[in-house]
Amino acid sequence: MLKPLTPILTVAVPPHIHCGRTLRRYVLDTLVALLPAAVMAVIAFGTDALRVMALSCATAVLAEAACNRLMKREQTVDDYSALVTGLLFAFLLPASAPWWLVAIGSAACIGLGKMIFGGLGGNPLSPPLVGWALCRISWPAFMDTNATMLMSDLPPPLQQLKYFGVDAVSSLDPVSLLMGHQLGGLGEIQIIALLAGGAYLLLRRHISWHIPAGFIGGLLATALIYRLLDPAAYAPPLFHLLAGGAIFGAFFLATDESSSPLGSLPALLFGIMAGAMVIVIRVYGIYPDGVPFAILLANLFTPLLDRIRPKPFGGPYSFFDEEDAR
Amino acid sequence: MKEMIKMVVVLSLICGLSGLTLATVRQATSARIEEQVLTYVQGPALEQIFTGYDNNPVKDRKAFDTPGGPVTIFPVMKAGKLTGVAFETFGKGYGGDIGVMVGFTTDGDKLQGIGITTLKETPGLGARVVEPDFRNQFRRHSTETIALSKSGGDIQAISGATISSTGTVAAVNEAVKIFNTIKDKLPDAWGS
Amino acid sequence: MSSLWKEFSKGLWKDLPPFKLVLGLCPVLAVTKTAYNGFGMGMAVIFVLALSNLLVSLLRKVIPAKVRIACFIVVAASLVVCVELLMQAYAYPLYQQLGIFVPLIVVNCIILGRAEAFASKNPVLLSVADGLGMGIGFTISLTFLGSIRELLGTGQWFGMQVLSDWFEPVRFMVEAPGAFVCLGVLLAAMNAFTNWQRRTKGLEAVQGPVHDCKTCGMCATKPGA
Repeated sequence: MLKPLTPILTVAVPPHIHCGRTLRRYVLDTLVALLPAAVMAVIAFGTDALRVMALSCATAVLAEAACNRLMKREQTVDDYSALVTGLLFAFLLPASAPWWLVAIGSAACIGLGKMIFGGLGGNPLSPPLVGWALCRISWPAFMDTNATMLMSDLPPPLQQLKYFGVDAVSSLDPVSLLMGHQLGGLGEIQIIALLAGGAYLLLRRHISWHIPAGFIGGLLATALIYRLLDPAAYAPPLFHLLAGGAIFGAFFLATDESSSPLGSLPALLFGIMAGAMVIVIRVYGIYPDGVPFAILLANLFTPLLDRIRPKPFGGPYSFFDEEDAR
Repeated sequence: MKEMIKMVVVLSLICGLSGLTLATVRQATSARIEEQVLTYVQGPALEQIFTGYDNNPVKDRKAFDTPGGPVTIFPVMKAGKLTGVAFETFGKGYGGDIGVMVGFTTDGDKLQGIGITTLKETPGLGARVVEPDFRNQFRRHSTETIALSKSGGDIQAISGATISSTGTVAAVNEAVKIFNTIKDKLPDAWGS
Repeated sequence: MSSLWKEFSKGLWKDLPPFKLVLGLCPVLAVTKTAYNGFGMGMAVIFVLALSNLLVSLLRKVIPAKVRIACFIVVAASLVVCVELLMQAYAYPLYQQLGIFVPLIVVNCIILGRAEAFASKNPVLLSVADGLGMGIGFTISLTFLGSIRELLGTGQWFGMQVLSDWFEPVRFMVEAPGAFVCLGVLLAAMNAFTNWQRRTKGLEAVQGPVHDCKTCGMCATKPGA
């Protein structure tokens, strides 16, 4: 008798039930979450935005392919993670960014931020922020979202707060800020679209609520403390939340899987730390927006926060205490 | 015991010898070092203030006694005639003291200009006091009513760096006060 | 003569201080903003290293073993202060640039390392050759690193404009993080080059430390395991 075409019984090793979640699906979902903001960026800034985003994504994918080739590793560009990194980096740039800045920055995100640490999952810092920091230090004039966009009539809230004081921003309506009527990086200021994307990620359980909640909570609390100290010198908490890249950082940058802590308490602490740092940098730093540097600093605490962990069942097997005692 | 004594003797000998060497080297270089410090720290500031002089202000410097302590005055001469003087005062900045070299003309009650000698201000904000845009506001300025625009004067502060601007202005006013006490002694000192 | 050359030349490539021994990284990272600074720092180190090796080697029979480190430090510190004073007197602009890092030569691991590992056990001539070689290797490394950073960071080389206006200086390279990135990439390149050399000779490539069961031995030392 011939073998039936579809076997009645399959013999295989466990696991037998799959939820269908793969790395590629996961990354594509992030891409979907970013899509509304990208569309709104194109509407707000025109073809320039499209140019920057396309170039950044293309360079990121090419850089990852080149790094894999150079290190003689299996090609990993088909998991689309480089594409997302490129898009996240583009979201931080002004629409006027010259092509070479986009290309160098995006390649640095992948090369220095990710591949040098062994690729996806090995990076101790959020890759888009590594590229952003390199560009911000190297070419401050080209990265300034205010000075390079003089022909735009959108208000730059954080620059106004930094250079002209709290009176200059009191006329800005929170609702218009929420709708993205402000000057900043391409996607980081499309607050409403980013909130929609963040909600999608939360619903799909791709990110846990701990980091965004901690981030927003820490930011609001710190801003409130300053506001209560002197309402004439410091902007209201809601302004800090809606101006600049705070929402973008909370939902998309701080939640980068490998550079943020795992457990719920560490994740919450991580978020609070980053959120509080944003306000500290905005108040005392020389950069108008503190979100990227705040998240980079919090990233550095991740290994430390990861040591807060539950005791294993039947424990304590305290491997780490013994290591310390030596 | 013997080993112990040897240890002590050898270590003391080495230390003593090195101390002797250092003292000698220091003795030999101290005069030149003072000259170099003045040339490279105060010299560039002097060049920013004055133009068209033919002496070496650092070499011709003299110390004056003022109520606030001795002050080193740098004279600027043209063809043997004293045309201006400059000296350094300090104002409180954001990251420490700001050293300001203030130049005066001998003929009237005007500032010749200012130059910054030392500062530890924030780059891009307070450190912008060294930029000509800010410094040139003091050029040929009257010695009376030097103040920032927010205090009723005509010096525009650097935006975002009020403390550094205030510190610089305070140093200039301090210099004006000193200048007024020594103004009469100046022509005698350099014989013109 | 051949041994003299051997001791001298090992500092130039085989034991190149910052890249092969990975010693003295504080000045390597801090003063290599420009090629000139790196070169000046290197010259100061050559001077101190050669003289400290000379003195330590001369005194190696006199210095009691128990206080040798103290003696080495005294010798190095006096030399460094001499260099600092001379630099102030005759090269003040360089002194302004190097600032705090000249006194730090005292605690530079190369000085103490060569005194302890080489000069205290070898005759005078060999020690001086070792010090000179190490110092020159250090200078070359610093100048090289400084050249890369200056060229990319400001478009200049030894203060001369090399790259023309189309080049936007990468200011990142002359800032502190640029030093770390640049050094890391250089070290990686050195390792890749060494491995390539070994492969052409038919030898196995040098592997980095591997963390597996064989090298760990944690469980073997655990009581009751």
